[in-house]
Amino acid sequence: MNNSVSDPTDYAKSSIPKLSQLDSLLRCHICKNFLKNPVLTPCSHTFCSICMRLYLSKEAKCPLCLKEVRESMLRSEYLVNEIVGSYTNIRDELLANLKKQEARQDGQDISIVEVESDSESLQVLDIEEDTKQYISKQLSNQRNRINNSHMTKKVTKKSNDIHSFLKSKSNDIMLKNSQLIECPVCSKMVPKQTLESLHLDKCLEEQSSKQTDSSNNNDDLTVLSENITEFESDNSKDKSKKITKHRAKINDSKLIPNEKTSNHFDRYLQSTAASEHQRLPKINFSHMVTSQIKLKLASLNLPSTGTRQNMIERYNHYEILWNSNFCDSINPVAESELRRQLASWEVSQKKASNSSGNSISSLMEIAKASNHGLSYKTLMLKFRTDSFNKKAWANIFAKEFNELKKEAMSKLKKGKIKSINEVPSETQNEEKKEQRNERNDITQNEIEPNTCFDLLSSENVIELTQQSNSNDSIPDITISNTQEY
Amino acid sequence: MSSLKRITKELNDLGRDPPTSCSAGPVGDDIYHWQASIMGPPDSPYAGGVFFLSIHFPTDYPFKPPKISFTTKIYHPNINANGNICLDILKDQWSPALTISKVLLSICSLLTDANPDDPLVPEIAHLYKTDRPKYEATAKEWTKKYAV
Repeated sequence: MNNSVSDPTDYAKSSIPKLSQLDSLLRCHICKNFLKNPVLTPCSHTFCSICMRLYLSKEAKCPLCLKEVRESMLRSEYLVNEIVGSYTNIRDELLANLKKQEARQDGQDISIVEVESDSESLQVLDIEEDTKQYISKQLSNQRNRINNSHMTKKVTKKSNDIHSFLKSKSNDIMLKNSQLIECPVCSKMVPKQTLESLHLDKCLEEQSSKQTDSSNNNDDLTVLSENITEFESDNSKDKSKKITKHRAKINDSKLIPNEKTSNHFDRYLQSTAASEHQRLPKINFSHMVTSQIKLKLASLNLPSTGTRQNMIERYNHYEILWNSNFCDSINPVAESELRRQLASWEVSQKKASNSSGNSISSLMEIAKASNHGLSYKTLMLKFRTDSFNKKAWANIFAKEFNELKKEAMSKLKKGKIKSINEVPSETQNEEKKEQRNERNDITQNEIEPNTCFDLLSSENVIELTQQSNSNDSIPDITISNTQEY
Repeated sequence: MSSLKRITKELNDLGRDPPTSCSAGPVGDDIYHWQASIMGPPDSPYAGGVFFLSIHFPTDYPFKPPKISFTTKIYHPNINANGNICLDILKDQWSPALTISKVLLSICSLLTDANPDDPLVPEIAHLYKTDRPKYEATAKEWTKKYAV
């Protein structure tokens, strides 16, 4: 799962940081991942189907606005599902491209790499020798030029650059040949003339030989061939425009050529809410004897092992899986897959009940290493209760707490400095820097009396914990204080 | 397991976009057990103090709220001697859309603005309502004594 590490802040360093909003809007507020089979609540909030159904089995309210919601009120949102699907498909590429542009703006020579790859693609093609020579010459010239001047963001602009460059060379005949245009099929940069005469046909041949076996892409191919006939009937001047216009469309389907559902748009158009699978009802098991529950499970081909409670939980989870799959999914999986998911859920449930014991024992080992083993076990057992001994806890984890303290302190420091020097400009001269340093000193002086930065040293923290240890009568203090007032 | 994934994601987010004046992270290898620290808000009697908290995630997180308690002693109408916090979002107002980061910020704002109408320690709440300077003096004293 690549998505598990992705985050809206990925866009912070790209050339369009605002895309992080789109990214976070397409995520479920429960699992924080991209929406999967989204459902809409009556209060107009959207969540993953499975997340929402699991939550509603515990609380009958919307996680965002806390208004009452029941499972029967949920409506699936196929459109959002397809939007998320098409977005996640292009997300990595989008991010990579945006970062590349950013790097280019920073003055790095990534554009040169692009140009070089263009020349490679040119060499693959059988173009006239003179054109090739000219382009390579022109490219090397351009390379030198790039180092000194801005490189424009867009491909179209880049070809404009070439255009003006060539004009200065007053070579209009060659100009037509060497205007680079992105091929709609393979998205390589190719001179316009070559594209029209040779490259497109070649590319299409390759494409069709690749795709003849996959029936799903037939639609794309017909679209493509339609485009081509259009190209051929049109005048050459319009061609380049047409190509770029159709490019997006073709590229879109090209990104995921081997996936079954390559076209989110088509899938959305063809989607129907009707399903041959009826939704599973909620069952009140309190009136059922165990044998009836077993029969119910057997009718769904589910195992009827375990205790009565196990069987009830199994049905309830299967009901959520089933309804989320057959009611909300645009592309439901088979029942056998649901049973597999149920089985893996049961395994993880068992693990969870075991691992809570394991985690204690693993923590025990940490604690034992610091000679607090015995007290630690009792501490853990009392964690959820009022008798939890926080002094002893603080003692054991003094080191960890100390780390956290340092972290928080440094963040606080940074935050204050930032707020004072609002958005320092990139062109700072020495004077400004000096001023800044002075300001920093001031802020630190302001903070220090209050926050006692000196206390950051580990010695002091040990002192602190010792201090809190010596104060064994903390509850007494509370009482005496409260009695006083 | 969904809870594990979600908690890992939150830990990741805390690293990328840390909230101001708070920090949190797991204890040892157990991702379900975290420690956190909160800096006393500057506009409160807790200014200058560093307060530590323990966080325990239930296995069905985020469907159930995390259990959070102060390990540093603090004088506050909504926090008792055992460090238990009386905060609606940690109880009946919990929502799976909340995150640890948001909860820590809520605790920060609870330190600035106590809720004496729903107290955990009635005596402190009474003092908070009737003799605010005295409450602040005691809170400052405790902060100095236990949290600095």
